[in-house]
Formats: sequence, structure tokens, C-alpha cells
Amino acid sequence: MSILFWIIMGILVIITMSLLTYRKRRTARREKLVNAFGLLIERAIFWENEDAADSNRYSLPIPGLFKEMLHKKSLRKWFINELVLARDNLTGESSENLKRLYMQLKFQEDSFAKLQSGKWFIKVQGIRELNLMDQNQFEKNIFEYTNDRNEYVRMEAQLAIISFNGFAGLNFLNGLTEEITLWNQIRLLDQLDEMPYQDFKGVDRWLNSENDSVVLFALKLAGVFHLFDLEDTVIACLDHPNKVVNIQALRTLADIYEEDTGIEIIKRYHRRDTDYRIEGIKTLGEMRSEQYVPFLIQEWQKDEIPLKLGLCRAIFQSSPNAEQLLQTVGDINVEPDHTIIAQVKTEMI
Amino acid sequence: MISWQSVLVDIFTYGLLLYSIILILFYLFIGIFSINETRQHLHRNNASDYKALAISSNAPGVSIVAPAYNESFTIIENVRSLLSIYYEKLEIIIINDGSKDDSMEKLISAYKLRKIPFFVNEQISTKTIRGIYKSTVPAFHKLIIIDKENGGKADALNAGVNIASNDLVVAIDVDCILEQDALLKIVKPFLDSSSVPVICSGGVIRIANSCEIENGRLVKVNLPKEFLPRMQTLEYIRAFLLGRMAWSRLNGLLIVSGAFGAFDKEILIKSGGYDTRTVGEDMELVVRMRRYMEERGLPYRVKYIPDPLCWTEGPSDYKILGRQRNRWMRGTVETLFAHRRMFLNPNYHLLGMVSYPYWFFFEFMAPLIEFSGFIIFALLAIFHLVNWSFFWTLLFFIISFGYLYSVFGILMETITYNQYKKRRDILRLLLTAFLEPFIFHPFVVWSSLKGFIALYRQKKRWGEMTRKGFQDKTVLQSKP
Repeated sequence: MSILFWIIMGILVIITMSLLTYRKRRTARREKLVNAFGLLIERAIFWENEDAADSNRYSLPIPGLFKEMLHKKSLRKWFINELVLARDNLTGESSENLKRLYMQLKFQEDSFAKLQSGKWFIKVQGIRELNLMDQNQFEKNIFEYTNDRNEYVRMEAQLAIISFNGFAGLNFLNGLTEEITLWNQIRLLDQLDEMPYQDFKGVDRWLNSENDSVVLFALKLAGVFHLFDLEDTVIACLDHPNKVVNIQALRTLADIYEEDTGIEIIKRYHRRDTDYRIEGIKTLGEMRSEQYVPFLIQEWQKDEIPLKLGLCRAIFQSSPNAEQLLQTVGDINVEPDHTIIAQVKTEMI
Repeated sequence: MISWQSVLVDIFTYGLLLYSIILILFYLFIGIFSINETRQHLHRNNASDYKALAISSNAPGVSIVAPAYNESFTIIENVRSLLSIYYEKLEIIIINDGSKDDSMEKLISAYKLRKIPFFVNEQISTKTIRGIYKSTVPAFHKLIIIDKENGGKADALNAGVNIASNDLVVAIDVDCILEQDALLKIVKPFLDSSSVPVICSGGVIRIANSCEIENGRLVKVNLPKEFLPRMQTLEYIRAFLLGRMAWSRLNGLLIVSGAFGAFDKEILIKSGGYDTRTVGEDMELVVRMRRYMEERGLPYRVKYIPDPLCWTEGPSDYKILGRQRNRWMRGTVETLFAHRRMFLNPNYHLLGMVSYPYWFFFEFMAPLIEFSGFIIFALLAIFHLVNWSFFWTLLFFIISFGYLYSVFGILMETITYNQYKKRRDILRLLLTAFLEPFIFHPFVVWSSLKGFIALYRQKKRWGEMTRKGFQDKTVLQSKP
């Protein structure tokens, strides 16, 4: 048995050393390729179309040597990656030229073929390439993956659909049964942030989805894009069985509140736990309305320590006479009130 | 008629053999299991745009808590390094844990700090906080300094957690050097599936000795020149790349390194925070958080990131290394004892039936068994009761497997992160592996035994770790 271990060890050492050598050579080879193909990419970036009005007639002359090299699968794969990376870092006509080169070399077929792979990370790569290269003729194929079991495939497909269609692309939420993870939500919101705003429909439907993650995401959409007409539906989410949805609804209301929104929050306040109350107080503070100051003062007097700092902030946000008001209901020189008030006053400066 | 001596010898011999075989099977399992998990992790890495997390206004806020005690020599540079972390919503909390040197004065001066009124909702009780400081310079608005009475690392971390304003807390050693994307990678697991939420995640700690550091950033990785740090490099490769990866895949990980770990603040507080009574507060906290979730039947995961995220100085002399291993063993024992209820308890599922028993038998008991084995062997030799042929065969078998495991670890490191690119470095690592059973390993076993003895004598001091500190643009100097 020990001899077997030593044999295996020997093999592993040989593999390790060979790997190091192979990597060193590959790095050297890659550097040469980067130099060579880099020139091609540079040429493509600055290439002017024969017919500026017809981008379909884009035809960059490609030396025969490059064409031959690109028959090799690994090199093709590498070059697609380089093109995609380059396009991701450029804008305008230069970026468009790279897309044209991609299409001239028929790389979209390679990218589409990746969608058929059984390996999720290859699918992701394919979707990403088609997305970054604006290949919206494959939108229908990519749309099928927006509800894929694998979260990375799903996310990449969703990003692609939005990239192709803007806000209208959010309609994938209609039939989504899989979770939109927080990471996924962040990516989607960031992508939407970068796009010029377009009116979009469906948020009220998504706020009533059976998929809680869709409800959460819809709440965030309502908040980020200030969809005031959804205020009533968002308020209804304060009664959703999922506590996380309740909390997000409170946060969204801080962005789309109307005159009496705070009353709905206060109605539910005493029936809920500390987390709801803390968030509710924060939202009332964001509303900056003197209307809720009596309620906030009343809660301040209850001396519930976890809530006091938030209450103080909300009072100071809502009333210019906050300190005087607090003085009328108790001695503000006793701890912890004294420190809390001093802290909030410092923050307000 | 079988004599009682031969029965005892057989029990000892075959007992040891059985223990070794089970241990080897565990290592084999760990090694094989870690391969696919690492592969999948690398694919997930490639599919994740971490940059997006850094700049996103939709990303969650993170509070970094870093205790500091007598770090005057390096504190300014360390804080600067943390301030340069690229993350939108970040809060950096440094806890000066009653330093006897001029750490606080240096911080106040360098970062233009002033004491501010700050209400601390003491959800976890700690020693008295003398003051909270923030900078008057807008560029340092992320920085908060807590000045408190000395209470130890756990107490300092608890103080940091109490004032952290974000839902995610990242605990780090203040002298750790983080990779640029370290924070992004350790936070991302918390943003994955919410049906099985992540309660803590940990990263890989690598040995920074002999590496080049510039402005608090690692610019070039070198294999440590000195034997002891090099030995620890190999040890960390095995432990982090193989061991923890496999346990993470099973969701059976019992430890997240205290040098760099991220936690769900709510669960951390509900679990009671760091335990100040143990020297292994990092392991104990993870076990307690897991236990908290298990006892409530709540789904959860503890995730582990195998990417090199954090670099730290490893002890380069035997005295300090000995203290460190002494402390680690004491921490292990204290944790296992505090949570002994879980041992082979099916109510705790994998935690109680696999993770805990593994740590008990193969981390806690291993040095005891090895040492006992050595003593018994010596006695048997004196009384001419040793079956020498069996002994040499067994010894050769165990040592060979150890070498194989190390070589496998080196190969995995080369395939995945390839931090040590030169053939010469790999050969040096291999040579280090061959010397390990004769120099490093016996020393570690001995230090662990001293940990048992110290625990028995109820010693709880940490011991001082001499800090050499990192110098700009220089390689860490060897001790003369």
C-alpha cells in the first residue's frame, strides 16, 4: 500500500511540475496571441465601414493567417472572450465595430452553441456573450432560461432580456417560480439604473405574486423608481405573511409615501415585533411630517431602549423643535436620553 | 495460553491501526470531496461580477470590526489598508482594547479623531467603553474607533458588534492584509439563496512572510524563506484548500478563522456574541451559532471561500508558534467541552453525528493518542514486546500517506490559485513536506499537549505575540 502511495505521489509531482511548465509556456504563447490579435481588435475598433449607412456591409479584411488560426477551437474560444471583454470596456462606434467583427466571424454561432451545453457555467458564458454582443435575435432562446433551476444561468438570462428590451424585459417576472436571490436583485436593479427610465407595467401584479422573492423585488422597484400609484398595494404588503416582505414594504413606503401613509404604519405598529417597529420608526422619520410627532413622543416616553435612538432621530427629522418637545416630556439630562439626543444632534450637523 | 501482555500489545497495535485507517479514510474523503467543490467554486467565481457589488448602491452595508491591542507599531498602516477597501457602504470599527502603548494617541493624531456622543445599545455586555471617536476629515467618514477597557479579543469584538450599524459584520485581525476583492467575496454568499440563509462565511488565511507589501497591499507573493513559516504555508494549504472546502460542501464546517470571517449580526447577537471565557472564541462562536439554528430547526449554511483573501504573519520562531498551537488546542478543548451535548446527538444532525465527533477524535484526541502511542511504544521496546516488522510497516504507511496528502494539497494549490509559480518554490514545499513528520509535527503535538496541561492548570492568558510588522516596499525580514 505504501508503495502505491509513493507511486501516486510521484505521478502527482510530475503532474504538478508539468502543469507549471505548461502554464509558463501558455502565458508566453498568450502574450504573443494578445499582441497579434490585439492588432486585429485595434484595427476593428477604428475600421470605417465602406458604406457608413449600411452596417451590414461591414467587412474588415482579415489576414488569412488569422482565419486559419481561428479554425482552432481553443483559439476561437479565447478570441471570443477577448472580443467580449473589449466590447464591455468600450462604448460608441468602437464598441459597435467589435460587434460587427464578432458577427463577421460568425461567433454568434459559437455563443449560441454554448446554450445547448449541459454544463451551467458554459451556458452562462454563452448567454453573457450573446448579451454583450447585442444578439437579440436569440432573445426567445435566452428567455427560456430566465426561470432555470441554476441561479447563475437564470440571472444571466434575466440580465440579457432586460438588456435587449429595457424595462419591458421585466415581464419574465410574470411566470417566475424560482427565487430571485438578493445578489440577482442587486444586479437587475443596477442594470435598470443604467438605463433611461421607461414606464413599465406589471409591478402591481408582481406585488401579489406567490413567489415572495418576486414580491420583494417588485417592492424595491416601486421604491427605486418612485411608483407612487402603487402606494396602496405596497401598504397591503405590510400584512404579507413573510416578515421580510413587511420590512421591505416599510422601506419602499419611505420612497413613495403620501400624506397619510404613516397612519397605516402606526395602525400596525403595536401588533408587530421590534424589527417592524425599528423600520417603521425609520420610515416615519423619512416622511418628516409633524403629523406623527405626537405618536413618536408617546413611544419615546415608553423607554424601550432598542427603539429610543431611532425615535429620537425620527423626532428630530420631523420637528424643528424636537429638543424642546423632548424636554417637555421628561428630563433629557438623564442617561441614556442625554447621550442619544447629543448623538442625534451631532448627526444632524 | 495467551498472556495478558500480548493481549495489551494487540489492543494497542490494532487500536492504533484502526485509528490510523479511519483517519486516512477521512482524509481521502476530504481530499476527493474538496476537488469538485473547488471546481464548482471557481466556476461560480467566474460567473460572478464582484465589481458590481463594490459600486452598487443596492448592495448591503457591511461593518468591519477589528480589535487592536498594543499595535502601535503598525496600527496607522493597518487602518489605512482597511480604509482603502473598495466597497460602497462600509463602516470600519477599530476597537482599542485598553492598549498600554500609544496606539490611541497615534490614531487620534493621524486620523484627526474627536470623541463623539454615541449611544451603545449593549445587546452583548462588554467591559466599559471609555469613548467613541470619529474623524473630522470627510475622507475618513467610514472610520469609527472604540476606546475601551481591556477585556480580551472576544470582548473587543462584542463591543464592535454592539455598535455596528449594518446587518453584516466582518471580523478581522487588524494586522491582516486583505486582497482587493476579499470583502466582496466573503459577503457574496449572504446574498445567495435566502431559503437557506448563510449565517457566517470564512475565507482562506495565507502566510505573508517574505511577501512584498506596499501601502498595506500585497504586491508580490513569495514562499517564506524561513522553515517554520514555510511549514505553516503547507499546513494552511492542506487545512484550507482541502479540509475546510470539503466540510463546507457538507455544511459541516465547525470553524471560520478569527482572522477573517463574516457573520449575520442578528444571529450572532441572538447566539450571545463571542464567548470571553475561551481563547478559541472564533471556533466557539461558529459552533454556537450553528447550535442556535439547529435547536430552532432553522435552515442555514456556513460557507467557506477557498480564494486567498487574507494574508497574515505566521510565527517564525518556536516559542511563539508553540504559544499559538497551545492556544489553539485550548480553544478546541474549551469549545468541544462547552458543546459536548451535541456529541453523537442525532438532534443536531450532521453537526452532532459527523462534524463534532470528527473534531473530537481527530483534532482533539489526535495529539493525545500520538503521545500515548509514543510512550506505550517506548515501554514495549524496553520490554522487547515490539513487533518491529509491523511497527516499521505501519510507520512507513502513515508517513507515506501524510506525504501523499501534502503532495495532493500542493497540486490542488497549483491547479487552483497557483500562488507559488516557480518550480523552485514547489520543490521547496515538497522538501518541507518531507521534513514535516520529523520536525514540525512532533513540535505541534508537544505544543498541543502543553495546551491540555495549561488548560488543566486553568491558564487563560493569551501570551504575547511579538509583532514584527509589515514595512512598505520591503520583504519581511528574517529574524537575525
